[in-house]
Amino acid sequence: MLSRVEAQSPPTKLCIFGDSHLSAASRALKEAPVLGDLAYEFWGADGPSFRDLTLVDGRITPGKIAKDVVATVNGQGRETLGPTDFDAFLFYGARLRMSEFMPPMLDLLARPFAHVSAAVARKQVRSFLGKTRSYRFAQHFAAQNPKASVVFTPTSLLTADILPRVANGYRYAKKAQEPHRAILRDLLDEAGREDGITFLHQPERTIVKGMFTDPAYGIAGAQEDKDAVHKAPAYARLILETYAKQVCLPVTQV
Amino acid sequence: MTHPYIGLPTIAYWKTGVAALNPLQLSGLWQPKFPVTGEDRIVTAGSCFAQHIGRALSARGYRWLDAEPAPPFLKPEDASAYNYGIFSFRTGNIYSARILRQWLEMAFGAEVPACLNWETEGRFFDGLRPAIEPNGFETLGEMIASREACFAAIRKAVNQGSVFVFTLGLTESWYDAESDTEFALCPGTVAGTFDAQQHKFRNHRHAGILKDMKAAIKLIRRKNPEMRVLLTVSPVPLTATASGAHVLTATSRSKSTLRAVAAELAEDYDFVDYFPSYEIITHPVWRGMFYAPNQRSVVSEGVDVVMGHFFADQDRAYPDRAKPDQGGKGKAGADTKRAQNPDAGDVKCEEELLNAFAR
Repeated sequence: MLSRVEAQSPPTKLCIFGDSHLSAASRALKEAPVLGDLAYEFWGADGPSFRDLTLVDGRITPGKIAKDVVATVNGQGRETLGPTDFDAFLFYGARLRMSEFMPPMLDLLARPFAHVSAAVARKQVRSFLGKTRSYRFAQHFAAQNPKASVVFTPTSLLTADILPRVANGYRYAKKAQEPHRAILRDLLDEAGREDGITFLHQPERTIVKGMFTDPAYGIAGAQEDKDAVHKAPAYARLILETYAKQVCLPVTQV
Repeated sequence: MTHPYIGLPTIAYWKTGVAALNPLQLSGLWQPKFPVTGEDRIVTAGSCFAQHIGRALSARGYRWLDAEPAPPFLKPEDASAYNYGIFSFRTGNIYSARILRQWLEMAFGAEVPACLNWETEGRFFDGLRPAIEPNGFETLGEMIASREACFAAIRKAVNQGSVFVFTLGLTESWYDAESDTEFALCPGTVAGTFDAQQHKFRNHRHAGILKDMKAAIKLIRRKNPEMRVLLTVSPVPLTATASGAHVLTATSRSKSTLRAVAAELAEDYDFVDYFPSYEIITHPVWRGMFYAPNQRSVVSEGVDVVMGHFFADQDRAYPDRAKPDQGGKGKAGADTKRAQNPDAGDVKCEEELLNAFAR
């Protein structure tokens, strides 16, 4: 559950930053204006180009490889992205992969006689977040612009039934239940709060088989293309609707 | 005229086995009773020095069994700080035979007395391993759950291992007067609160240590009849003694007792062996060269010499045994992974914390 961002007033100008998952978000917003009157821009790059984004003088800056992609994604001529360019940032996907984080963590949580202390779990979460560049971008933005709303919605779990071998080795994660996932969300939320970042988690109703996304939310042609990573606009819409409810509306309306 | 001392091998005579050689050329110090192969699943436990043995075996590709591995994403330095990858299970150092016996008995169902649950300033510590989490546990429930996970790891190691390496460390110990349960460290040093009425000192004697070790070995073998036991004695002197004696003589008293027990066990059981790492580090032949300037810590060169003897004597006795690098036999697998961290050379020794109390 997305916690309320402690902003003085609803944001007026949103940047949705991310990687190839922006595609589903873009389509969702074209299908339905779930963000209402909130002005928004996309900014980011897909695939290998995303790795070409770095912080230069405090601004996310594309290298030669990513420059054209960023220009296409943004379409507004914004060549670099800085912490004060917007009063709200939604980091969307952006390679913070729950499909990488959740299964091994769930496997441990759901395993009989296994235990990890809260202190160790916090270290694990910190390590996972710290190695993801986009999370470091988000940390930087939140630190440099404390008035901004910085929300991160990580990449969703892999779509079920597409890559059956993925579940190998996760005997217990496959049986994980909502309380197990809630523990991990709480840990992420706690770390995010310390960094001024609010997590917008994958809705529980989209999760099946312990560690997967319901195929109903998979991208069109996922099975044929063996694409368990990308999701349909329907999934993006769920995320954006939640974001709108929690962040965009005035405090009195929440 | 003939007698039994004629015609013995060179190692049987001081003149040819020791005096005629540079100490670094000594050989045949160990006649191993069984091979340690690349296919063995090696369990390590005990006092500080056992960490060196596990690390050296792992580095050479032997299948060191990590029954309680570090959880995912944990940085190596954090894994080390939280005592993952130090021993085969997350017990921390097991200094005495009694504590080994306690761990095993509790892991296999014996009652865990409440005196092991320590609280200090709102944090909870396990009297069996008070330094396992640097700042203790957040709740009593968390501490108990963590201990249960350790018990499960011990069961796994005992059930799945094939060689159990145990380093005997200390004879001095502190125990709960009511339950006779022994603590890993004296309450009040690292954590907990010392109560002179409740917490009593005991310097184990030969008979008691032998009894505890036999009970521990019996339990291990009952669960896993194939398990072989390899004993060593830690050459690391006591940090402090509560015996009233000088720490130097207290060290001799402690180590010589443990050494005698180890010898007796190795003589009594064909599946128990003793590896003389203690002698290699402590014997006057080596003139103390393997000790750091504090005359207590063992330098890495000493560990290298010790393990050099280990592998050389294994090679000599069992030249055809399966080694980790022979045609995939005993190849290093997941079992061998240890925390790779900048402090990998540092041996974790809770006892060292007692130094803080040294004047």
